[in-house]
Amino acid sequence: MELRKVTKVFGGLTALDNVSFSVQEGEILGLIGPNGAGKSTIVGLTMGALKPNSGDIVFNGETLLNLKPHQVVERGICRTFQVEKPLLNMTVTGNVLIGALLRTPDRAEALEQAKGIIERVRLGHVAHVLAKNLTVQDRKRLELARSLATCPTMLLLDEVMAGLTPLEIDQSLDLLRKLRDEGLTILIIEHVMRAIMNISDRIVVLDYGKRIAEGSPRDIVHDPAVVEAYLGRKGTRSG
Amino acid sequence: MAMNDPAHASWKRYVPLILAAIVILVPLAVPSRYILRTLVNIFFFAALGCAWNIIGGYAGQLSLGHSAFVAMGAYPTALLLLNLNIPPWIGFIPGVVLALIAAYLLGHLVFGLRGPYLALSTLAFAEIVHILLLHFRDQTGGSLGVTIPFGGTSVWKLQFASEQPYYYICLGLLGFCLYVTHRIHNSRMGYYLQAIKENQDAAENLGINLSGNKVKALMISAALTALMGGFYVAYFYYIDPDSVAGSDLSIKILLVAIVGGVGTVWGPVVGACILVALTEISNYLFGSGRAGVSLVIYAIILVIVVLFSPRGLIALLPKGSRSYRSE
Repeated sequence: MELRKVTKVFGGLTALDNVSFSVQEGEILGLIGPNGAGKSTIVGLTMGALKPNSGDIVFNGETLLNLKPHQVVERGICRTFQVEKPLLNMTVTGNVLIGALLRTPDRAEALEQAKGIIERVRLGHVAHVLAKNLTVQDRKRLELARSLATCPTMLLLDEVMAGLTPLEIDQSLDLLRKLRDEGLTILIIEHVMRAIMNISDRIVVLDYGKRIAEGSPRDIVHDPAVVEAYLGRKGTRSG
Repeated sequence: MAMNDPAHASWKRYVPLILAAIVILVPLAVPSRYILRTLVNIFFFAALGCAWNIIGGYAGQLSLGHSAFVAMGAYPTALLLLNLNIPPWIGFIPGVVLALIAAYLLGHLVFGLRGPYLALSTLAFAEIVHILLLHFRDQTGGSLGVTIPFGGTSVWKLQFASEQPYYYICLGLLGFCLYVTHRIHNSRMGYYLQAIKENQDAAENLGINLSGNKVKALMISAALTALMGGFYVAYFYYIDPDSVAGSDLSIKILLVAIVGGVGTVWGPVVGACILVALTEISNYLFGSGRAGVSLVIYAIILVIVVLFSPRGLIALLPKGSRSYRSE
């Protein structure tokens, strides 16, 4: 997937300013930046929920700009929501089943797939619990499970590890690595630095809608522009 | 599970069969015309509630304008019968086609809207149909409506002196509506409609075509509603804009589904039994002079149901007889 000079303006606020980068097939690309840097906007634009003011987003040689979200999902891109949006009055199984039904109209087959995915993301113990009764952590897992059920070739993960314990984060990282090794491309947005530095093959840094750095996790932590964006410029703070 | 007791299970299996047998045999055993008419009314509103339930219940897209589709089924049927002598069992077809087209256009127009805006626009839609019926009075008879003369029993024209044939026709139509709902309930579309009802953003991002599914559900719903509009003409011999295109009817249709239980196959049947029975009781107690009392009672019932059993009265029935999904 490739973003080409994407600009998105909300009212007077430029959320994304001429941003270009690409995600290679089979890699995990970390997308980081301070709050309001435009990370989630990129997810919205890719899915077709938002339209950019200029620029293009290309996936497998095809522009995604004229597609609706469900068409983007059909082409193999799926997202999770930063603020979880479970189907509250359906069980965990039901939620994942909805995703699995995209690739097969057969309920029994979809149910089999859903069960497999639920085990994989460690939701087996709450498979028959209504989504509205889940803890925040389990809701995060449900977001991931549901997206996986649509059989994506590329996943857009918007803060799926917020609120997880260190052990749970390690489990999630293991799962994501396995998924990548199976051929899934992953764009991951995360504030848990330990997680994103640990798992990303490459990282893109956004600040105020601009791409300020791109490279391996090791390069990124030493990049002066990144340090400035996160910690402020030396000497600009009094005291 | 306690239900695995074999004697209990085998006994339970026969309950639907016994109920079906009773429903089929009632007209042969009950001579009372009044009771049969009441039952036809129950079937009629259950079928309408069932049709509404597809878009309003399963998909959660509140329509306050379903009487418009009743009118679209009823008026062509009545006018074709009156002017061209085309029997209702053929005459309902143009009405159903009209309803399908209207639902398609309306769906694409209003399904970008959510919540109260959608409800209001469907209300406006029904009001437009109501006004058009009054305006084109040369064709529709305006507020005087259309009266179909009774020309003696005729199977061809679906005119019968006795009540039994109507009973079976309406029962068959209800059966058809239940069958369609049942098919949707167990299909991918059923799951998709439920997902749309729960959260449209999430549904869309799981690959569900929002407008496609909603428009399809509205079209099925509108076609079944128009079909019942055709039956209305055959059964009541008289239509006017207030009775088939008024907001009273729209409200009654959705109350049947909501009181009974939205998003379930049998909920509207339960709702229709309660509401039609209540109408009869209130008409008996208060007389036709205070016909509005039944509406007051509806309102009270609705408040009680929403407060104490928001999933409808069907949620109060024993588990096996409900029709919720297991997931």
